[in-house]
Amino acid sequence: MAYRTYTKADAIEADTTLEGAIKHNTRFADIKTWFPDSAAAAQHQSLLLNAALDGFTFSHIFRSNRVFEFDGSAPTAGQLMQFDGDGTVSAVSASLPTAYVEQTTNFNVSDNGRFACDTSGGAFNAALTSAVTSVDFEFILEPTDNADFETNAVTVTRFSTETIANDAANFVCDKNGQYHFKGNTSGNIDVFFKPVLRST
Amino acid sequence: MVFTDPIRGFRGLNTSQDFRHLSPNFITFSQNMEWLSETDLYTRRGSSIRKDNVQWGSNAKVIDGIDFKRRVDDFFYEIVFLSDGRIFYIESNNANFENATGSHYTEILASDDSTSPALVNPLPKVSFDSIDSVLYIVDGSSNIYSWDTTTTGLRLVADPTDFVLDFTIADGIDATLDAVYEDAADTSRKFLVTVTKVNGDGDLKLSTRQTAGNTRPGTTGTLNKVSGTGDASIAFTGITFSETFEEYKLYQRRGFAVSNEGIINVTSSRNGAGFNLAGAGFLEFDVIEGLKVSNFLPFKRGAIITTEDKVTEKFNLHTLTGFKFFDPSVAGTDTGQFKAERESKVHGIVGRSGQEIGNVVVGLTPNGFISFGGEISTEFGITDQQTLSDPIKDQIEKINFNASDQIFSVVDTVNQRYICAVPVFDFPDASTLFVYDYGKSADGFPRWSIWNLSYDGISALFKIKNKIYVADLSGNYYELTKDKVFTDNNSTYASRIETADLGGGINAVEKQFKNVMIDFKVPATEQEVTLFAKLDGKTIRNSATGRKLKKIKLTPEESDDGIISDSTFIDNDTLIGQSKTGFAFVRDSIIAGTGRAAQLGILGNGLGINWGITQMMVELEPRGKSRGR
Repeated sequence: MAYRTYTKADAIEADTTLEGAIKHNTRFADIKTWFPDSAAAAQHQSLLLNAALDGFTFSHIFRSNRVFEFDGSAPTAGQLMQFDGDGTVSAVSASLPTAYVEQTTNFNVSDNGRFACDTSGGAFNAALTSAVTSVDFEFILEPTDNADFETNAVTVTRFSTETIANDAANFVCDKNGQYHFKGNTSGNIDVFFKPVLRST
Repeated sequence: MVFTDPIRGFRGLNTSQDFRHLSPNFITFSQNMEWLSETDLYTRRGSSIRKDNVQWGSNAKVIDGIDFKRRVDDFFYEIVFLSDGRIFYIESNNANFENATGSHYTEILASDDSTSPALVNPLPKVSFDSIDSVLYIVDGSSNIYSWDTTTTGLRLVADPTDFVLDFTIADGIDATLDAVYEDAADTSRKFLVTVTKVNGDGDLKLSTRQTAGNTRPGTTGTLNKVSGTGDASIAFTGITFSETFEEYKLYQRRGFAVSNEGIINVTSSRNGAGFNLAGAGFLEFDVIEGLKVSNFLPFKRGAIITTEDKVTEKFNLHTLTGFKFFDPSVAGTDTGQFKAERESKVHGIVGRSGQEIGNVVVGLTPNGFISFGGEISTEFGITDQQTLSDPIKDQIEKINFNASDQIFSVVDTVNQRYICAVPVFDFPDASTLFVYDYGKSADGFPRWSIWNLSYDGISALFKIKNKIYVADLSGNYYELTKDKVFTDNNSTYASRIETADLGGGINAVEKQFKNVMIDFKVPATEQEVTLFAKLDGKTIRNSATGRKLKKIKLTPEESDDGIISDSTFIDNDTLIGQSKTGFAFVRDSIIAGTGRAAQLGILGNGLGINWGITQMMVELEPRGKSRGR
């Protein structure tokens, strides 16, 4: 794939050749344009990058004569871009956010949560609530890099009559690794485990 | 090299005496890394979707796969077996072969009644092999199946030893080719009848659908034609389907069907279904009560059959030797020329972990991964057993042998790796890959890495056209090692290494990393990794920052002529120095604290992060009040 970095001036010039692709009042710091080897030269594609050149705070992606306009309000951190199929794009929530929330004492789990549990000060509970037992939900629970679940475990406590790993009992996380809890309206919460330490 | 030195003043520890290469003993834990050579470690390449579950749904798991190639074809069939008994295939010359989604596969149905699923008892595994352009399959039931690609269905091979059925069609009744008949006395029993002569007594080929343990006493009766009219008289001869077949493999040009009842049924030469022909027969072998057949590994001049019981965690190993078989049509042959014996002096191989690599068999035992070297001797069986997994014995202890039927393996011959999937602790599904880079271990030090994929679990490992595929628990399967990809289907995985325990033995002595020198591989694009220290197995944290980890930025240096030079940059100006020779220096930077032993590690964590090292030097010094002891 051929690749070239354009300046703002180049981009404005590009506007004269790609009608309507970029409005003159669009503000951007840089634009990257490339031509797929297998495509006709006219089908070049571009991304507008932010000022730091480290992210896509763009408002448009365009592929030659096609412009994807961003729907709705500005994206928030952790959201993904979704192509809507109608020439527009939207910001949507990722299935699981990448940011961990560190916990050192009893807490309630939340849907799509990632929890890094520091049990170096003692064991504690992660409580299921009605909010995560009535719908499809999932969350991830891991020890922090200085915690040892085999010494101080985290216990996932039930909210009502749901089962965890097909057992009508609280679930004790006493191994060092990543626990992935996935539940739904059937009332059982599946537990998947990987012995991978977070160490970050 | 000394790693645990109790005398005053710890020594500087290099990865090797001349500090040019990594020593495998220096790195005792590497996660999601692969050995580029015997001296270089790099982040493992990631996985990428091969086929999603759109066609068969998310409730069925892919439990195995094969590239089935007939010699008359110039393409192959990619076949996958599902946990619910369904079988799907796609031809390699199909225009949609490369499509990862959509319904482009064809389902193989049961031939006698076109039902789905074709297999009746697929969990936890299927076993298969091909002979003379036909694929034979067993699924743990009393059935042996065959598929020759020319029919849409999976045929049933009759029971190898007991099945005898005389079948006569009366004069004047034309039987249609491949007509389906049903037993008038039991309409659930259907028979596919292939007629070779009509209008008279016919020579007939029959296949039956039976369930495990089903019996049929000797009797006579009538078969009614299911579609159209006509009937036929039959004579059953004491049909007893008592054996349950766990393994079917080609060995010495014959089909071997191994049953849990301790019977090895053998076909005639080059006939995968010829269990009753001249030259066929059976061997008995010693299956301890309660154990089932888990694997059959033919190789070189001998074969290994493993039996096990996951509840009691008993694992046995049997050898099968010999190269001829009793053939009544050939004078001088003898039944004693095949021999199956249980080996008591070696460990049994667990689950489907056994693989042949060159001249040895590698497999997992409760004591770790072992290799059986040399050849299997008819007289002495197996004599040469070596342990391969000493460098990772701490990880072996985590394996859940109670779920041994979810332990399976594959050999990546292109990258020269043995890969074994295991469940850990008390979890039932395989979640972890033990990867042995045997091609990078020619100096006698086994190089291992632990791979954790981003998927919740692993239901299968298999090889198609020399590519390794891994299946998740939702019916998707992925190409395991994709060049230049460092995500698992766009999901992040962390990669890290940890050194051996350093300065161990004396708790009172405070450990300090005086100097650390690391030679990173030059990255293609800028990457950031983290240096961390552990004391007695736990990562050290700083009370002020919450962590005691150092970020290291790895940058490709582009010189004037555009060639990337062998150099890396470090971006911490206080604690981490920068070398013009391509090394990362850490000086007086990490105080491990008081404890038995300290470790140093490097972590790469983030989407697509990839990095590698060639060499590493750690200088550990005693510090504090106990320094002079």
